[in-house]
Amino acid sequence: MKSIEEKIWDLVSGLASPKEQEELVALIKTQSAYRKVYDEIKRLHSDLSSVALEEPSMAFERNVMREIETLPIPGRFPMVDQRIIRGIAGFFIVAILSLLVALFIQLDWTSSAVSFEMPELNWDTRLNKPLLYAFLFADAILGLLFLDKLIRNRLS
Amino acid sequence: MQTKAPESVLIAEALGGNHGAFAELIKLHQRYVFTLALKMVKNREDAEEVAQDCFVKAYRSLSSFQQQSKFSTWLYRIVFNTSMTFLRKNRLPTNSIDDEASQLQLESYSSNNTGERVEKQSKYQYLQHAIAQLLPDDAAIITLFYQGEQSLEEIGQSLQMNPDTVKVKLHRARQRLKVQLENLLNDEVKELI
Repeated sequence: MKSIEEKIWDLVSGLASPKEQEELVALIKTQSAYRKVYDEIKRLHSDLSSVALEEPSMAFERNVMREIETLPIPGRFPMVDQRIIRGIAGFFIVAILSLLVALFIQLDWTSSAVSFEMPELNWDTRLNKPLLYAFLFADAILGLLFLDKLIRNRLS
Repeated sequence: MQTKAPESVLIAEALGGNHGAFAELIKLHQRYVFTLALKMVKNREDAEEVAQDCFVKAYRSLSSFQQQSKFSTWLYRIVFNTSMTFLRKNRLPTNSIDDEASQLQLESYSSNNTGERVEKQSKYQYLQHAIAQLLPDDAAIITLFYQGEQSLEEIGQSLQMNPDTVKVKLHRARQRLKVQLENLLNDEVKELI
């Protein structure tokens, strides 16, 4: 059940339904108690609506823009220094070229019989038990690290 | 004559890397953002810091703004959350040093000036002082409704509340404001007697 004040606040704020508005207007016209509350609330409502906005300092916009200019454009990946990208690309190009040069130097160009058969790997000798355990252990450590990071991110 | 670009255009341009477009958005909203922050943190220096932080946060997450609500509604949500975080971190009391300053202003207005201008100014001062006495979320609801010109639904989106809850909270906040104003006026009358 709404109090008189609540009904009148709704009326002056435009939150009352058309039916409520009609009823309240009639009550305000006929009953002095409603009239008194209405006058009081209407005055306060009008004062509240006319309160001016506060002004920040003159340097406000400049300060914000100075900070924003240092940030990457929203929604895009942060800028990476072009020298880093060129450095990584250069490393891979040099590594591939070195491998190719080493390969061509080691090739026996005089031999007439060229074999394209791949050497066979003997897994029994290469993948022994300690190596397998070490591999699984490293996997378990990586898995735990990933889980820890995931839980930390969720909690923060 | 140059016409102002609508907000959606400014947002799109800011996302495209145009800093000037974001500066326009700041110009449009800085007074609202600062007023809301001030009503919550109740100190001009802190409010300015919070308001700046809000614009930086808004810029950083601008690409996540879906334009399903008004930009101001989305921005006020950032202001409300940032102000609440600031208050929690600093554990500031509801009444700050600014209250003393406004009390002094109130006294000077009531004793030195006369006429309609004084009545208007002192009414404004009383209101500001009474709002400053309110709890941060009450002050936020009143500011958003009267100065931010936000509907109950929009306030609900900003404060992450149901519009019906906002309506109830708005009514309670106005009642508390009325009590604060009555107390202030009673104190003034007592001082005169």
